[in-house]
Amino acid sequence: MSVSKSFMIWTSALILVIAFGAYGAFLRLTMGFKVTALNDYYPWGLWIAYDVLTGIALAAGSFSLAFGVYIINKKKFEPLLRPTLLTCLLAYLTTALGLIIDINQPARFWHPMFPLFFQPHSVLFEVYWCISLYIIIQLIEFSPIVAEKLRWKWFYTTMESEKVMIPLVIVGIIVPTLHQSSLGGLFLIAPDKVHPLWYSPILPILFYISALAAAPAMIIIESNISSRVLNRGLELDLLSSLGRAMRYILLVYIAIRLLDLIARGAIFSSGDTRALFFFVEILAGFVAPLILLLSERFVRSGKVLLLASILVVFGVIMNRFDVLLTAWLYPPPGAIYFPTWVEISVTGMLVALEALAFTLAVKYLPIFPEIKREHA
Amino acid sequence: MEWKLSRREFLRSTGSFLISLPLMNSLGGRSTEANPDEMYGFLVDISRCIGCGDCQAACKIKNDLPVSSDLPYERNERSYWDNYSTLSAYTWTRIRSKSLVKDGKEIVRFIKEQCMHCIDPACASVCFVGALYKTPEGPVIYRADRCVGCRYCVYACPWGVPKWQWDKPFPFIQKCNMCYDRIIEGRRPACVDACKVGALTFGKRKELIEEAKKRISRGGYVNYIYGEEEAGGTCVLYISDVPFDELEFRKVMKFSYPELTQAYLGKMPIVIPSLFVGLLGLYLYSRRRQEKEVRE
Repeated sequence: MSVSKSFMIWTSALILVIAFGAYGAFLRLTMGFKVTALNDYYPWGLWIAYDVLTGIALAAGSFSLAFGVYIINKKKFEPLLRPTLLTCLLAYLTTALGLIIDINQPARFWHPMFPLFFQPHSVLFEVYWCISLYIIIQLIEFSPIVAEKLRWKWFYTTMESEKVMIPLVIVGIIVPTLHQSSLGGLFLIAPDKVHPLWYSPILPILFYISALAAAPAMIIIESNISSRVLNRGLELDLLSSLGRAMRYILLVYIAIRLLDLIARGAIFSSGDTRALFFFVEILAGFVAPLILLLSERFVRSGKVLLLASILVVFGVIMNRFDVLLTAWLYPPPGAIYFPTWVEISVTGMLVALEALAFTLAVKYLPIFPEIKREHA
Repeated sequence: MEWKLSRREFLRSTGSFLISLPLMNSLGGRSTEANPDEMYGFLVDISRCIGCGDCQAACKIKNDLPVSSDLPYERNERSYWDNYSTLSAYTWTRIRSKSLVKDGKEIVRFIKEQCMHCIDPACASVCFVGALYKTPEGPVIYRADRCVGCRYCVYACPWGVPKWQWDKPFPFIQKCNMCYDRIIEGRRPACVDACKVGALTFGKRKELIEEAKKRISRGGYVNYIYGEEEAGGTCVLYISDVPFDELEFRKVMKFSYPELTQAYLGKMPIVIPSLFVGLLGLYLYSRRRQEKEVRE
């Protein structure tokens, strides 16, 4: 396999970012949290907001697509399955790595799995178990791709048979459904410390639906990137179908979010800069893409579809940051959290690791069907 | 390889899910079922406290906490009497002062801060390894050997009591444990023992509430016991001769916080099987429809 010059530059740049983040992680593990901006008022910062909340929310594509292809039998989406599965698996793996750096006792990451320590009344317990289980499920779902490469015919056909795939897919939908919503459930415990513009008893439902909206958006963005980099065609037909699905999800999300705000009377509880964050999040991140997608002409246009998707991803990222940090009322006025370079470098490392692993996997594994055909 | 899911198989797999439901009953349960009346706690009488700080010193000595490695020693105009500016990993109790005007006179009141030892603590309910634990005797203790360090307890506590050793690479949480080791020996907490003016009274929660009501009925107090209903009730109770609002006590919800997550987690035994049945049904339906299309 030939290695082009641009490939060399790209991977070297990623390795540099990873090395820099590794140094940041080393500082955290030797000096403690002094090197971060976290303190007693801000127990959770960038690492939880981005690596965990955002990372998981943007990795809802795999199970949404599995639902489409296997459960409601929309076989036309099959070509999108493998790249989506790969990005979601990588997102979960880097989330796990990020959490190990973030927790105070990295060597004890397995404690919640130890039966004597079980605490089923904790939402975090559910999140931990579901994320761990889902990583295993995704690894199993990914195994046929490796088997195909290694030409393990028996293993490949067994795994791809309905008898194995359908139960796996069903469990592989239930588990992420639970933890996508439970990530919102984490905040239920702090009704008086999370601003009413974001705190709601239905936060789990809002987290789930917004993750579902991010799923087609991420697939559209990733398809655009891979089509450009790998010089393959863009599946515009499929992406337009995804755009239509995204339209309905956004409609449901905005309706529920507004009804909830009105029902709780929180829509008028603004009065400070937090309201500005709220309106930017809602208008730019959810309402604007919905308006774009309402027009059937726009849904068929690749460029508008991409723009709408970028807006939705922006909205979901901003929503997760807002719920965790903007809405956080506990610190005294003036105590504002802004991540240090160490925190940013570690997050950068995780993103770069994901990108590097994706680049290598696309090069050496049968991820894109038409590229696979070229080498056959 | 064709695989047909028969009606019987469908019912069997659904049934096994339903059978597993009782196992999920523990979701959202309280960490202890002990009777709150019998739990130990202490009553803080703000009208009696002179702010000497002996309780604070006794706590430092008893728990072997450093005096110097704390947050900066703040003495500013606004809070002249404050010593440690907040609770921290190395200050589990502290005296906060508050200047205010009562009957046209400027007065100062001293407020002892420490863990409130909730009857149904948010910190213990969110802890996913049981490191924070509500003992049947009353104190909420920390079992460091279990702690993973997710910091969810810091996020969840309505009063912001659990603090972390931010100066250590692998920090532990630190907070008041009501001298649990002394309580099981039948002794009083170190801070209560150190108080020379009778501002702290140790006892069972029910007796403390009776004592508080007796003092309030004698006059000179605000008719309110802080901690009787806060966060569903706490083992540390406060009475005062000036309104609690003016003393800047945190306004918290008057129900137990874990109920909020219980309302969510308690739905899981319905949600999980419904998802399972729904997905399986949807799969079978769309397959049958496709087979029909093929035949036609």
